[in-house]
Amino acid sequence: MSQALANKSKAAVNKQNIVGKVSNKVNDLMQVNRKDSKIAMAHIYVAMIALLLGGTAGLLQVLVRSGEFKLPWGIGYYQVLTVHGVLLGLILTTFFIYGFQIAAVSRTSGALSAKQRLLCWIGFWTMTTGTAMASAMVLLNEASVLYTFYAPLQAHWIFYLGLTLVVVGSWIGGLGQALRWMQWRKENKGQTSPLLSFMVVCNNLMWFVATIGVASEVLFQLLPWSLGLVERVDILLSRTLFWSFGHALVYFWLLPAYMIWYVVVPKVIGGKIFSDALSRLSFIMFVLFSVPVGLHHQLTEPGVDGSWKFLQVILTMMVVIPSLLTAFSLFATFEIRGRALGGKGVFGWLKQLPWGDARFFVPFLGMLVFIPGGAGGIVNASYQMNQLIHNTIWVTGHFHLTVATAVVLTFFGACYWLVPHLTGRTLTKEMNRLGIIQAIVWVVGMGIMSSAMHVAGLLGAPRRSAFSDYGGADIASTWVSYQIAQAVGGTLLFIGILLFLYIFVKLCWFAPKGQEEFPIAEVAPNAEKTPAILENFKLWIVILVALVLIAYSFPIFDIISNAPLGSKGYKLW
Amino acid sequence: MHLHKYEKYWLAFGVGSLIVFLLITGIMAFHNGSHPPSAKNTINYEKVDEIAPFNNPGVHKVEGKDWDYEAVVVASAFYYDPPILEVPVGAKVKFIATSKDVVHGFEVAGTNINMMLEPGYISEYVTTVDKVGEYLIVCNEYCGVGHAQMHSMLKVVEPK
Amino acid sequence: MANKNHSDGDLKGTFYLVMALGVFIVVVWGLCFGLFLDRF
Repeated sequence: MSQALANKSKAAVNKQNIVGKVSNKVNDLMQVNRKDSKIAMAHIYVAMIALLLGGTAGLLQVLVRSGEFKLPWGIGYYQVLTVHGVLLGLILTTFFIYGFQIAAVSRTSGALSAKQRLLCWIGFWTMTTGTAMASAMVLLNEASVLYTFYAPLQAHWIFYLGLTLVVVGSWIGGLGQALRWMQWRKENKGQTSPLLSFMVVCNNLMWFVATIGVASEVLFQLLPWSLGLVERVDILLSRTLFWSFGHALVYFWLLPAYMIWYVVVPKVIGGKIFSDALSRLSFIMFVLFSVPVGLHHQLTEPGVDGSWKFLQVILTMMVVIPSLLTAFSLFATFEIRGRALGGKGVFGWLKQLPWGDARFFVPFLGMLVFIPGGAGGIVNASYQMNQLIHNTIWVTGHFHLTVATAVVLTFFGACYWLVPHLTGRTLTKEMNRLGIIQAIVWVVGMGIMSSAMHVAGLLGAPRRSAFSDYGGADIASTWVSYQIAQAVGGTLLFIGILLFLYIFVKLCWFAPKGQEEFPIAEVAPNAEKTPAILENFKLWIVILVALVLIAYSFPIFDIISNAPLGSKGYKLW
Repeated sequence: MHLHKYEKYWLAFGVGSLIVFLLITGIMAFHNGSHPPSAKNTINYEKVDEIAPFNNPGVHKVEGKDWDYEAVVVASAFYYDPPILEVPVGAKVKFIATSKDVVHGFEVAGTNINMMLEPGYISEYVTTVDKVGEYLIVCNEYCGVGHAQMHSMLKVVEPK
Repeated sequence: MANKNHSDGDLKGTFYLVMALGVFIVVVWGLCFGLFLDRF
C-alpha cells in the first residue's frame, strides 16, 4: 500500500473509526502487494520467453509440414516438436498460471506472509532450474521424446530430472498460494472465502493429485531406468501413469481461464458474478472429475479392458457438465449487464457490451472458440468413435482450439490489465487497440490452421509427423493442401505472438506510469448465501480419492499382474 | 442452490445429450461388440519373430473362427512386415499386430482401424472390409526419426 | 444462486444462445458418428 493511501486511511480512521477500518481493508486488497507483484512478474517473464521460443518452434513445424521447407544445420523435426510441446504445453502454461494465481491470491486474500512468499520463490527457482535442465537436454538432442515421454524411447536422465523439478517446484509454489487462502479462512471464521482464491486452491489441489501419477512414473520408472539402475520398464504402466496426469493437465490450463471468465470479465463489463455458488460448484466438479478420466487418451491401446475404458468415458462426460454450467453463467452475466445498459429484444443486449475493450473482447473470443473445441472433445471421448481420430492431426486441431486459443487468448487478455497492474503502469488506448487486432489475427490464423487440421485428421493425416509423401500414396497427396493451409495459419499465429510480445514489452517497461485496476467482480447484492459445504475440501478430497481409486485401482492392478517382459531403452532419433 | 428456469432447461438438454451419447456408444459396445482395440494378450517383444502367429506375417485364410482372414503384422522401427496386405472385399478380417521395439501406431487411413502397438502387447481388431480400395497404413505414434516414413498398404480387392 | 430480481424473461437471449451451442454439439457429434458408421 502506498504512503499516500496509508495517510488517507489514517485520516479516515481519525474521522470515523468504523468506516476508516473498512476502507483501509478495501484499500489493502485493491492492489497486489509489491513483493508479491515481483514473484508474479518473475513467473510471467519465464512464460513469455517460453512463448517466444515455443512459438518459433511451432512456426518451423508448420513450414516443414507444408513440404516447402527443410530445417537447416541438422536440426531434427522431432527435436523442434519437443521444444514446442514442452515450452508451450508445460512451461508457458505453468509459469503464467502461477504468476496469475499468486497475484490473484494476493489481491483477494491479502498479501502473502513472508513464509508463503518464500515458498513461492523456492517454487519458482526450482521450476526454473528444472526448465533449464530439460531445455539443455532437448537442445543437445538428448531428449527428442516429446513432452509425453513415450518410453521405451529413452531420454537423458537430466531431462527427466529437470521436468521432475518443474513438478516439485509447482507443488511448493502451489502450497504457498494455498496457505494464504487457509490463513484467510482462519482469520475470517464462518465467512465465505474470496471466490478467486477458492478457485486457485481448487486448481492447485487438482494439480497436486494429478501430478502424483506422472511423478511416480518419472521417479520410480523413467529416472532409475535412464540412469541404468533398472534395465526394463513396464510400458503400459508408464503410459497409464502419464495419462492419469495428462488430462488433468488440460484442466489445469483451463481453470485459470475459467477464473478470469467468472470473476474478472464480469467486472470489466461492469456487471456482477451471476452466481457465486454455481461458480464454486463447477470448480468442485472439475476437481472431482479431471483426474479419473485419463484412460480416454488410451482408448485404442491394448492391455486395458474395454469396460474400464468405458467407465472413464462416463466420468469424462461428467466433466463436461461444469462447462455447460459455465456457458450459461457467462452468457447470463453478459445479458443481465447488456439489459441494464438498455439492450432491448432477445439479442439487443449484445450490442451494449464493451466490444472495444481488449480486456473483454480478447477473452470473449477465447470463450467462443471453446465451443467448437468442446464439441470436438466430446467426439474424441466417445469410446469407439475415438478410432476415427486417434493420433490424427484432428487432435492437434482440437487442443489448439481449447488450450492454444480459449486459454491462451484469455491469458493474453488478462495480461492487458495484469501486467500493468503489477508493473505500476497503465494500458494505453493504442495498446488496447493493438490487443484487439492481435486477438483477431490469432483467431483468423487459428481458424485456418485448426480447420485444416480437423479436416486432414478425418482424412487420416497423422499427428506428430514430419513431412512425408508416404511412398506417393494418393490419400497422402490430398493431405498436402491442408498442410499448406496449416502453414498459412501457423504463420499468422507467429505474427500474433510477435504482436503480443510487443504489447507485453510496452506494458512492462514503456507504458505510462499509473494504476491499472485488477478487476474483481462482486456477487449480486441480494444473492443467496453460498452453501458452506462447497468449501469443505476435506469432503471433496475424500470423494476425489475415492473416484481415482475406483477408476484406476483395478486397471493398474490388472496391468501389473499381467505385465509382459518390460522394455529396454531406445534412442531412435 | 437455486437454478434459473432456463438454466434447468439447458442443463436438462445438455446432460440429456451426454446421456444419449453414452447410451449410443454403450449399446454399440456392449450389445454390438464395437469396442476400440482392447486385446489383452501379451508376448515377449524380443522374440516376436519366433512366436506364432508373428513368425509368419501376412494375410492368412482361417477356418472355424468368427472371422475369415487373419492379417498378421509386425511393426518395428521404421517399417511394417509385410509391406502390403491384400484381402477380398466383404471378408471379415482380424488384424493382429505387435511391435518389436518401441511404441508404434497402426492406422489404416480412411477407416476405423486405428490401434496402438506396444512392445509386449498384441493388438487386435476385427472388422468387415466392405469397400474396395487401396488404403494407406501409417504409423501415427511418434517412434523416432523415421516415423513419417513408416507406412504400408491395405488393398481391398474384388474376390478372384 | 438466485438473483431474485431477474425474472426468467430476462435471460431469453442466453437461453437461445446456449441452446444453439447445444444443437451445434449434437450436430457435430452426429456427423462424426455417421462417418464412424460409414467406415469399416
